[in-house]
Amino acid sequence: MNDRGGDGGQSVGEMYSLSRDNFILDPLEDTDCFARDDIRTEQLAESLDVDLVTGMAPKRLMWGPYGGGKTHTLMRTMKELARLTKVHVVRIECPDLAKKSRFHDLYREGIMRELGQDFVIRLLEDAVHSVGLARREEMLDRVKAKVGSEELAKAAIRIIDPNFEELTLWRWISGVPLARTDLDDLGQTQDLTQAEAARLADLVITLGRLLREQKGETLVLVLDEMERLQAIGPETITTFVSGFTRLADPNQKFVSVLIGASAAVEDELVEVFGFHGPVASRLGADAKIEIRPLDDADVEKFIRGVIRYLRREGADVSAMMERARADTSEELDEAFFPLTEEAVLALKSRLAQIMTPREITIKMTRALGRAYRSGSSVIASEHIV
Amino acid sequence: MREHLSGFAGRSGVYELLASLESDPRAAVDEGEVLKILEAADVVDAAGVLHELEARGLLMRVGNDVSLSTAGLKTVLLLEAVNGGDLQDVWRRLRYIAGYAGGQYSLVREGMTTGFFRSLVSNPSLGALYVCSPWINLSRQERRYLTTAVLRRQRVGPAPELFVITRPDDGFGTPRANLTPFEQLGAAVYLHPKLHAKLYMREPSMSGGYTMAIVGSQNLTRSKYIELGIRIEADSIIVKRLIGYFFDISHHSEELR
Repeated sequence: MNDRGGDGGQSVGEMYSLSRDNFILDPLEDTDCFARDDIRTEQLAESLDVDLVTGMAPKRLMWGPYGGGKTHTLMRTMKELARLTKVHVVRIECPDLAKKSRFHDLYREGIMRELGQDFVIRLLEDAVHSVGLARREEMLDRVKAKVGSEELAKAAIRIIDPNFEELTLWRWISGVPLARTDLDDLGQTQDLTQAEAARLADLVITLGRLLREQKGETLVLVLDEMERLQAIGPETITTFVSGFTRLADPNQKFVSVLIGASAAVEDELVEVFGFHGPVASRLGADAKIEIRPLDDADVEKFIRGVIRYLRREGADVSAMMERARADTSEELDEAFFPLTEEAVLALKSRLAQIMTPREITIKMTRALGRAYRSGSSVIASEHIV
Repeated sequence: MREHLSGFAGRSGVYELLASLESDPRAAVDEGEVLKILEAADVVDAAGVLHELEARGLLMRVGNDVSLSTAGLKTVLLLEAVNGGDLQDVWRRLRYIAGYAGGQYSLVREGMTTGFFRSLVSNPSLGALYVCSPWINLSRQERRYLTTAVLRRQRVGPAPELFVITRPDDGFGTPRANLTPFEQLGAAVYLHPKLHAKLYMREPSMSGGYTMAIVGSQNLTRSKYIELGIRIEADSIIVKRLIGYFFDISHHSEELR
């Protein structure tokens, strides 16, 4: 997209020696960039690791304003944690739920969908094969001892039949409605669509236990954008409280649960995770982490960090700054370039009261576009909106 | 040593059969029909190949019929990719089997833009709105939804940010007057003479909430044409990437001041 503007048909990134045409950070792709000094992700990862080596499954609740970097922090922390220990991380973004949605909907549309058929079926298959072949009744007893539930054992044991279609098992365990013939095939009396929330949570915990036993990995569920539970009405919200209470139980040692929820202020936090509710009380005070908006000093550090990350490798910044002096009389600092120091000040002054990484990167991006369109080799204060 | 599955799958007739079963709307196909497909592909020992496909778990028996197993489906999709198939489509179908990261996707055939504007009121936590459409002509209803959503939000916090990219008023693009509803609400408006993309997105306010994007064929006008779009809900990652794309277009546009 270099058909107009700029200098000699250069793209935006080329003109300012940036690796892309904007400053927008991707929470999944840009985990190498963590431009906040006020949050120590390595310490967060270490605290999770301490829990893991002591046999616990850590649970945390990260909250703060939308655009504050919760997802980015969670994914960066997961990357750091993966360096310390063996984890299987699954990020689950809360689906848009209707007023009468139940925990089952989050289980089916969120948790199980993201875990995926291959992951779940292979765990069950390995569990069944690990007990060894025996007569059906004896084998069922062994699988039951392994998975901790008779109904799951009856369904899982079907895997040994070469003519069994594993999709049927996946559909059952992922909470999809099943026909009577499929239920009979799985040895079930009913599907999981009407199952209690705690029972569904127990199935997830069982998968975490099997993963720990078979591969020595801890299942980490990153349940993100959970403020969307705000949409749930009073009739069914109790199912979410029940499901999350089970997952957040301190005695639950097989699935680590990290929850991200937006809230501009503490009182806005979605009721399920409210500070006086059963989920929060199980998490404990130390498990609640606020991802605050940036303060004034942190904004500059953040801008420097983003520019450092997006600057093209080998860029001759000194030469670019020399050329830029022809376009502006404003002060130039290599750490902020292509922004001038006055542009940084102007940007800070135009930020709303809550200064989030999202807001800053969007303002930087808009200013980048204005500078590019005007053919300026530098982003000056006049380009800040 | 037993032949690798990749070697076996490369044998004459195997891909043809798996692809045929994959595209067949029936859940299972009569064994005789399966043998005919193999024979039509010049397979000499059709029964032997069928037996091998079953033994390797690519096909399964359903009574007297034969059906593609999950492993068979994976195999045929990967072979389709190798044979020059549409990678995006193969990826989408594989992700369905493996469990995929992302939100909820749905096809929108009618009322694409009206539905989008209605959502501004029915899901009120609006923090930012992005409209990218070569031609813009809001209906009265859409204008009402937009104004209501913005004013409602202003009562409880900062006004939502509005960003619009459209074609300039050069006798062919969007008449300037049609942009007035956006300008009155403080929108940043960009003009690009070659704009063809249609993209509608919304982000929530500081309190978080509903995220949505629609990518499709429909302009923000009262369309009389056959349109198709994809609505993306609850996938904040893809929406963030689309926002990056939106601003990339804006960099190459004139800003209306």
